[in-house]
Amino acid sequence: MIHDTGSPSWILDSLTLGILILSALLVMLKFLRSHSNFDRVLVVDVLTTWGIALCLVLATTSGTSSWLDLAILFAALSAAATIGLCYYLENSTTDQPENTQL
Amino acid sequence: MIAKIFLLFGAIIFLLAAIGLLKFPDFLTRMAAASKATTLSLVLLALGTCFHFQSLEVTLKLGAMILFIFLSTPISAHLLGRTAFRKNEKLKLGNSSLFGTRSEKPKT
Repeated sequence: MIHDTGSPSWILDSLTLGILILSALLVMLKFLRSHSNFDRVLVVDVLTTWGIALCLVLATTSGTSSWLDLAILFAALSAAATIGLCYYLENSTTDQPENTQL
Repeated sequence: MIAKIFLLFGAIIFLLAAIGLLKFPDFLTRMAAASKATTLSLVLLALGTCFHFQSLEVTLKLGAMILFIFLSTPISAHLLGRTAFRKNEKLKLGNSSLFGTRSEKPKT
């Protein structure tokens, strides 16, 4: 990545990457602070999406479209993980006595 | 330049999702923030990438990626929400249900 350091495009790229990295740090902080397995599953789901977002930003900043292949791979893995999550939850979840209306 | 602005907005919405995930008081609201905001963020990022490259090949790749995301994110959010609801995860924002207490059946 070679940039003209005076152009606004370079500033926008740096700002975008910085905001994405800050987001990942906040999400990881939630993973560390949480005691609930639901929250941890949610954080992993969000981090997968973050990986795709990072690939898109890197593709744009570097001008290399091969980053998009990695983004598609992450999206396909996310879909496959969702199928696994469906299978696991449908076969392991039992209703608590208080709440059975779904 | 418009591509960079789309990317920046996508990143800002992702940051809002992360703040919501960190600050919201119960699991169901955290899940709503995470699933909706990250989906919108990815759509904005994909639009920015599409504007940047302006080629059919890249557009098709991004379309496939968005298709996967639109398939997986709502399904996983729905499943996690339903499981949390069945496990009696408590809501902490105001009234706990649209229909009164959660143990009551909705009036039809």
